[in-house]
Amino acid sequence: MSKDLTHFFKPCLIGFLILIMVGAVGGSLVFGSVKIPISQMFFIFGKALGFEIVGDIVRRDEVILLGIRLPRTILCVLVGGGLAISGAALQGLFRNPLADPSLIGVSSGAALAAVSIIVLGVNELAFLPDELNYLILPLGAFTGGLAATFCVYTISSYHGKTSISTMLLTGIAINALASAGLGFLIFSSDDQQLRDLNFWLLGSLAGVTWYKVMAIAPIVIGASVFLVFLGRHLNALLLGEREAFHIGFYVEKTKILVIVLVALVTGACVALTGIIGFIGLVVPHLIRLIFGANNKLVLPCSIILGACLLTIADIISRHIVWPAELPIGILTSCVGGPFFLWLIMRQKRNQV
Amino acid sequence: MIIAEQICLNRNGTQILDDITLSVPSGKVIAVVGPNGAGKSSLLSILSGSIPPDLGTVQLDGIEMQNWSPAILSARRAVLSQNIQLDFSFSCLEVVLLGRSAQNTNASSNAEVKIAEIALEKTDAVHLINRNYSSLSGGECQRVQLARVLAQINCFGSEIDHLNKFLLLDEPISSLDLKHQQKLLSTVRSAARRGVGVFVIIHDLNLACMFADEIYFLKRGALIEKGAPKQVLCPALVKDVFEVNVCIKPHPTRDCPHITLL
Repeated sequence: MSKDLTHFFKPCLIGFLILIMVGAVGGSLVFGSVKIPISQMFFIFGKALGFEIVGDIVRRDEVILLGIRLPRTILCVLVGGGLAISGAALQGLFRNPLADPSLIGVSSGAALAAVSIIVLGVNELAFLPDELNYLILPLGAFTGGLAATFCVYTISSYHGKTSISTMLLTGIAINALASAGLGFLIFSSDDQQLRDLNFWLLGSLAGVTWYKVMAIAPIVIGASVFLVFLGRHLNALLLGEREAFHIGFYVEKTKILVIVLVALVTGACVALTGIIGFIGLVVPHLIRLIFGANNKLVLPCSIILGACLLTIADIISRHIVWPAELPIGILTSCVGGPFFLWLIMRQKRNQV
Repeated sequence: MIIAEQICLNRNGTQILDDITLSVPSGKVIAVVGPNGAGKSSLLSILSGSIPPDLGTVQLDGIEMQNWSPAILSARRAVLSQNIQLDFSFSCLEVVLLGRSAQNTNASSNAEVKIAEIALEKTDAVHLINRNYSSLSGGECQRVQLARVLAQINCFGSEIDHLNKFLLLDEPISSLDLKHQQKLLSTVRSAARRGVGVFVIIHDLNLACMFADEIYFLKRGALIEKGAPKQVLCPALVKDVFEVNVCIKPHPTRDCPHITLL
């Protein structure tokens, strides 16, 4: 009986999630400081898709919709989905529902690299064209994130085997080192730099261009799809590494693959938006509460819910202190923090 | 047949296994007994292929364990370890299907669910099938895990030939009540009748005598004695291995020895 019910409910819930996402994406395109009539929006999209449009199109609306809101919305979906699936995959790998992409050092490594670039002023090299200058910061952050993950991974590997608990501790140590470096850089920065890097450290989706979105889209989409296909490997790993081997999986290969993919996704996301906390932690949890722990469902559904939540959070952050814009990292931490506490309390209650 | 020859294992300067040669033949139940820390679980890990021995070889079908692909090996031998922890909420059916997930990409098809149900029936856990695994008691968990292991090699499937499949079990009945201890060992016994080779670590000497074809006595990493229970069991051997005094009489109804602590 209950089995039939879940068979019926799960597809419905997934459909519902997708509906929310479509709604959130629509909302993100509709709401903004400039009101664009819905009919106008359809005309603009129609024109962009190559249809013959009879109505008038206001040039300003077209620029706002296609040049600002659309890339930003796509970035929300990419980053929200990417961070959420990274969190889900790492929670599976660490066999700990409280794991987070920052544990493998990728966020703090990216932050350190980004802040170094801002403070040392290498993001404004006069001899390079503007487009390349814009890419220095994200590229640097991406490289920094991967480098930190590589450090964590190498230190915790021994004779071709990686100890997951050592990795957790190494991650904490590398994070501490990176934040010491960050502190020093913040200390030695001037006022304008301080504003720039604060924006970055608090996380922000502002200032997105198609150029940047297209730079991360292949990495985030490719690696996320790959991760979705590792669902059954991650399921087996939940029983323990030895058990996963007995069941018939290449454990070491799976671990390396998951870490590399997560570092790629998180590195790419963090490089563009700065540090957006708690999406990677909270979303997989919500999904597990609804769908159970089977990673074949948790991974893809996390993408959808992560995309929803970040898109909605972005809509709120654009309006809550209008005409200014609240850095989205503040908002996600504001909601994520209490939720995390609730999770811990709930776990404590269940253990008694 | 799984054949281990002259296995040695060293960890941090301690000799954990010392020159052990044994084989697990098809259709036989081999019970391994010995005091805590004798190296029983290490021996099982080496036979399963999850750790390579420092010296010596372990082969299945004449091929070194390390050279088997994990997925192909998993259809031939299943392993039950001690203390399996699972902190995520899976249903018992999902846990059992995990055992099939490497061999089959579609591990929730009807045929696979059928295999899982049969395995759960064999361990008397079919009523738990939709329960959340993390809500089970220790003994119930153990039964579900054993079902996962049985399902992995599908040793109660309709096919007749189960020769060359192997079960390696590390204390499979340690948290079970009397009824289920007997029930599970009978299940293991009937798997052996279908041709499966069984290697089981067990602490209860009487149960070992009742259900095993051969008993191996392990002490400080060395194989002290092996053979059919009736032939090898004597008070001197038990005193030597376990440092307890016992008297041994024939079992009142079965054809095996019965050990009483003195």
